[in-house]
Amino acid sequence: MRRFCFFICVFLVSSLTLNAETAQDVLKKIEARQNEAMDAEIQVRITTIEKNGTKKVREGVIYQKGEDKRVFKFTSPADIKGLSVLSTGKDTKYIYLPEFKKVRRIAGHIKNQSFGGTDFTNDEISSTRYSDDYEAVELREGPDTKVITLKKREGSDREYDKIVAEVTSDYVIKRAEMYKNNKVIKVLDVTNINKHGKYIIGEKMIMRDLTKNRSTEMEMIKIEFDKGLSDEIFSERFLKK
Amino acid sequence: MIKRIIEFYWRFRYVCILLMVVLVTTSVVCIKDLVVEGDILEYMPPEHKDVRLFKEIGNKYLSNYFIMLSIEAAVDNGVFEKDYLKSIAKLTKALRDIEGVSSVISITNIMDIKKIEDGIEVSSLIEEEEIERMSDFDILQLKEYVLNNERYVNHIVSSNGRYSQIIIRPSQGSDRAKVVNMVEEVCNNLLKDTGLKFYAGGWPVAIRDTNNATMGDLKKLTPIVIIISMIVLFLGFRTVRGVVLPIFVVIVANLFTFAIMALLKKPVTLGTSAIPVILVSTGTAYAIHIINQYYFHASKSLSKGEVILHAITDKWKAVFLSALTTMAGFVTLMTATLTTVVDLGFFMTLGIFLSFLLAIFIVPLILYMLPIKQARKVLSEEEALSYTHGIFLPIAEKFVLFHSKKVILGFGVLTIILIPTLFNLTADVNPINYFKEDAAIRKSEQLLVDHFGGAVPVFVLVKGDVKDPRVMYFTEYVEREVEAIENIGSAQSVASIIADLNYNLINYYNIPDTAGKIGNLWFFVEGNEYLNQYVTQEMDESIVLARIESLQKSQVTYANRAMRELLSKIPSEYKIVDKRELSIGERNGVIEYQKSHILKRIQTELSIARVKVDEKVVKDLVEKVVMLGKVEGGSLPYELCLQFHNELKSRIKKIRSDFGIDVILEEQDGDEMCALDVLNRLSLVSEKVLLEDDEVEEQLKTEWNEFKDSMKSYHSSLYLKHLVNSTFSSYGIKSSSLKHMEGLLGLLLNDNIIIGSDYEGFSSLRDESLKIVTEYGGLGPILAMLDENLMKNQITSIIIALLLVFVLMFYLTRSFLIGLVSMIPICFTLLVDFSIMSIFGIAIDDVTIVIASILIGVGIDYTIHIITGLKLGYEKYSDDDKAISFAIRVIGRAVFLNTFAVALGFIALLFGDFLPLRSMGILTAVTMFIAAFSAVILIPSFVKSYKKFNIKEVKL
Repeated sequence: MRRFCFFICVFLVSSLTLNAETAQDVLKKIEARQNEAMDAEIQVRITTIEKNGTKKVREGVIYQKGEDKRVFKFTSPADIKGLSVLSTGKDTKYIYLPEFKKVRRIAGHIKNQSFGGTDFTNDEISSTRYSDDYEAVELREGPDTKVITLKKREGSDREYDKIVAEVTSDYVIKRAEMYKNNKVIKVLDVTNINKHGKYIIGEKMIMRDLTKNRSTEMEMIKIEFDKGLSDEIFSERFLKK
Repeated sequence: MIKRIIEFYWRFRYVCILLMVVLVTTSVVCIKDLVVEGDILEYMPPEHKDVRLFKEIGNKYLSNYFIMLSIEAAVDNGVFEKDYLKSIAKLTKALRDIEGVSSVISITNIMDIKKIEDGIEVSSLIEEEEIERMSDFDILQLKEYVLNNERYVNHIVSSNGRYSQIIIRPSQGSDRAKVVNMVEEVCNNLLKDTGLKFYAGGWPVAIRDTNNATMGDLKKLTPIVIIISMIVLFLGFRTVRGVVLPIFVVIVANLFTFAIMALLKKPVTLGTSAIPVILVSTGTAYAIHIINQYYFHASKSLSKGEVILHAITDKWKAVFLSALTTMAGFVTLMTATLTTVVDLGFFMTLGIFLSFLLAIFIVPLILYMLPIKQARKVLSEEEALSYTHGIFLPIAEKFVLFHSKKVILGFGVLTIILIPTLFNLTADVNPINYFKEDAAIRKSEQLLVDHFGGAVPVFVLVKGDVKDPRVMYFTEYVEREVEAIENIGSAQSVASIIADLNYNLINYYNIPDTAGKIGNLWFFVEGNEYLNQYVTQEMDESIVLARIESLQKSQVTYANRAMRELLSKIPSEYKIVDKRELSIGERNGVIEYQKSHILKRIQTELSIARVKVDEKVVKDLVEKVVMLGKVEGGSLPYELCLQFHNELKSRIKKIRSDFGIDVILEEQDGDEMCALDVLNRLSLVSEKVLLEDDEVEEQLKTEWNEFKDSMKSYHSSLYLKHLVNSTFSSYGIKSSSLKHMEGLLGLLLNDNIIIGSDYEGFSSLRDESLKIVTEYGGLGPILAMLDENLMKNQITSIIIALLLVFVLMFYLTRSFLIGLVSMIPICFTLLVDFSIMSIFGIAIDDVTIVIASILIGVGIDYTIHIITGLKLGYEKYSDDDKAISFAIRVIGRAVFLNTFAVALGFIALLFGDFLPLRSMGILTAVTMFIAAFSAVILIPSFVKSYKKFNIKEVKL
C-alpha cells in the first residue's frame, strides 16, 4: 500500500511538473489569442465618461492585420469624421486630417498619451503585444481564471511599471490593473466575452483612469474576422479614402 | 430696579459661581474646535456674482488655487543644465505623487507642439528619459527653442532662463494647507544640494501662511496685551484685586466669546484675531469702574455687603452707558459685506457685553468673598486742581478759558486742511500685502511678478461651443487684446494652442475657418491634462487666463478697468461668411471691414511687441497681402525659395512612392525654381498605369489637385512671411510676434471670413450670427470688489455708529445742540485717523476697518465724561470757569489716564506679524489720544464760547 501511494505521488508530481504552465507561457497564449485572426474589421463605439458624468460618444472602424498593422477610422461625430490613424509598426504612425486633406506623421514617442481624449493610450489602441516591453514574472491560478503579473522590462518606455492581468481559461484578458509607482492608476475590465466563429473576443472594454476619475467604454458593434483585408488598407493612400 | 436684580442674584450667588466654573470649563473644551480661515474668498457671501464666478471657474478649471513654485538656478545658464533638468523632472514626478495633487505642469512635462519631418508632434517639452541622452548642444538648442516660444517664456520659464515655474493644482476638496506643506517637504528633500532653490507662491500658500500667522499672532499677542494691562492696572490701583479682577473679566469674556465662535462654527480670521487685544484694552474699564467705586466706599465705615451694593448701584449706569456706546461702535460693523468684518462686529459687541455683565455680576461676587480692603491714597480733587500737578492740562485749561474761540477756529482750520487727504484713502484686502516685506510669501509673489507675468490671476470666461470657429476666433482675439493691456501678462487660452497646431500643420498661426478643421486639430491634444486649465470637458466654454503684473492695488484697479473696457469694446456677435457667395458690393464691404480689422489687430501685435510702426506701413502690408490673394504668387527670397523647392521635391517623391508613377520636375535655376508657375510645368508620366484602375486614377487626380493647391497655399504662406519680414525687418521684432502677424494676414487669403457686429452691414449679411457671452473674473476683480465693499462698509458703519451715538447723546442730554456738538470730537478724531492712514499709505482692510468703531465707541465716553464733569462742576462751584477747570483738570486727568491704559493695550499689536495689526495698534493708540484731547479741549471751548451750549440745563 505504501509503495502504491509513493508511485501515485511520484506520478502526480511528475505530471504536474510536465504540464506546469509558466507566467511567460500564459503571456504568449494571451498574445496568440489576441492575434490569432488573420485580420479583423471591427465597428466600435467609444464612450468617454467624465467625472462629472458628461459622456462623449465616438464611433469608428478598426482594421487590423497581423500584430502591427492597424487603422482606426472615425465615422462620427462630424468634426472628426474621416479622421484616421494608421499604425504600421511600433513607432510608425500616421494621421489623416480630412478637413485639411493632409496626412501627417505622428511622432513615435506619444504612445503613452491619450488616444483622442479617451482613457486608452495611443499604444493600447494600436498594439496588442506586451512581451516586447513586459516580462511575465508571476502566475497565480484560480478556479476559472489565471492571474498574471507583468513587469516592465528595463529600458522600456511604456507608462506602466507593472500590469496585473486576470485571464479566462481561454486566455482572454478579463481584467487588468495597471500600476505606476506601486499604485494602480488604471483598471481595464473586459466583458461580453463571446465566441465569433473560431475566435473568442471581449466585446466590451472599460478602461478606468483612477487618477482622473473618468472612464472610457469601448464597445464592439460589429466584428468580422478573416475578411482578407488588403495590405493597401494599411497605407497612407487608404487613409484619404 | 438694579437693587432688586442684585438682591435676587445675590441669593443664588453660589449657584452663579458654580455655573461660572461649568461655563469656563465648557468654553475651554469648545475653544479647541476653533478653526482658522485665511481665505478672503470665504469672507464674501457665496451668492455674490464675482465670488460665484470665481469659485465656479476654480472648480471647473482648478485654476484658483494653484501653487506656483519658482525654481531658481544658481548658474548663469539658468535651469538649462542637464542636472537641473533632471532634478526638475524628478521633482515634477514626486509632486504628482503627493496625495491631493491633481496636476503638475513644469518645464519638463508641459505640452509642446512642434513640426517634425512630414509631421507634427504633440508631446511633453522634455521627455525625462531623454535628458540623460542630451548633449550640451541639445540643451543649448532646447534653451533657444524655449526662450523663443511665447507659450513658455514668462509662463514656465523666465525670460533670462534663470527661473522655472512649476504649477501645481491641488485637487478639489483636498486639504490645501497640507498639500502646500507636503510640496515644500518634497522640494526640500529633492532640491537639497542640487543648486536649485525654490520659492512657493500662489493662493494656497498665501492662505496657509495667513492661517499660521493668524494663529501665531493670536497666541502671541493675547499674553502681551494681558501683561501690559496688568502693569497699567498695577500702576493705577497698586492692589492685587485691582490688577487681577479686571484682567479676570476680560480673560473670561474672551474665553466665552471664542467658545461661542467655535459653537457657531465661525472661523478665526485675521480680523477676529484682534478681538483679545481690543477686548482687553477696552473691556477692563467696566471692572475698573466697579473696583474704583468699591475702594471709594471701602474708605467709609460700611459693611462689605453695603460697600459692594453701593459700588454697583453708583456705577452700573455709567458702566452700562460706556458699554452701550462701545457696543454701538462695533455693532455697526455687522452691516458689512465681508463676513470677517461682520464677525468682528458681532463678537466684539458680544465680548463687550460679556465684559459688562461679568464686571457687574461676577466682580462683586468675588469681592464679597474677599476681605474688605482700602486702596492706596489717590490724588484728591484739590490736588488735581492745583497747578503743581501736570503741565498739559493746566495749559489746556488756560487756552480754553482765554482763547476758546481760537481753539475752535484752530480745530476748524485743521479740519479744512485734513479733509483733502481723505481722497487718497484706499482699501486693500490683498492678503499678500498683509505680510512683511521680508516674508517668504512676499518674496515668492514678487518673483512671480518679476519673472512670470504676475501673481494676481484674472480670466475672461467665453461661453459658447469652443470648436465653433467664431468662438475660437473671438477667444484668440480676446487673448491677444488682453496681452496688449499694459500691466497684464501671460495671457493664454485654448485658442493659442489651436493656432499653434494650425501653424505646425499649414504654416499659419491663426484659427481655422471651419469647426471641422478645429475638430481635426483638437484630436491631437484632446485628453491632455494641460488643457483642463483652459476648457471644460463639455467644450461649451473656455477661459482666457492672464495675470496682473503687480500686487499694487492701483495696478490691480487699472487692470480691472482696462479689462472691462476691452470686453465692452470687442463685438460680441459674429458671423462667418463665404466671400465667394456674396454679391460684389457685399464682398467689397466685407473685405474692407476685414482689412481694417486685421490692421487694428496688427497694431495690437505691435503694441505687444512694444514697437511703433507708422500706420501707413501696416496699411501697405495689408494691401499687398490682399493683392496676393488675387494674383497668386510673388518672388521669394533665396532662403524661402529653397524651402519651397525642397518641399515640392519631397511631395513629388511621396506621390511617386504612393502611386508608383513618376512626375517630371524640370530643374530650374534662380527665381524660376520657386515661381508658382513651376507647378503648371509639372507633368505626370506613365499615365497608362492610371488607366488600369479607375479608382486609383480618381485618387491620383484628387491627390494631384490637392498637391497643387497645397503647394500654392504653401507658396502664399512663404511669400506672406517674406512680406512681413521685409516690412518689419528694421524694427527688431521677435519671431513670435511676426508669427502672429503672419497668421492674421493669412486670414485675408481665406474664403471664409469671420465678421463681427462692429461691421456696419452686419445685419444685412444672411449668415447665421452667434452671440458670445463673456464674463470677466479672477482674483483681480474679487480684490477690487472686496476693496470697494470694504470702503462702502467703512462709510456705512461710521454713519450708522455716529447716528446711534447721536441718538444716545440726544437721549442723555435731551438737547439736540449738545447731542450734535458732542459728535464733533469724535468726527475730528475720525478725520485725523483717516488722514494719517492716507498720508502714510495705510489702507483700510479687514483689520483697520475696526479702528473707526473703537474710536466712536470708546471716544464718545470721553465726551460723556467731560459733559458730566462740566455739569458736576456747575453743581459744585456754580461758576462757569470753575466748572470748566474742574472738567479739564479733574475729569480730563481721568480721561487721559484711561486713554493711556487703552492705548498701551493696543501697542501690543505692534508685536504682531501682520502689517494691518501693527497699523491698527499704532493708529488706535495715537488716535485714542486725539479723541481724548479733542473731547477735553473742544467741549469746554464750546461751553465757554457759546452761551447756547448750556451744560447747566443738561439732564444727565
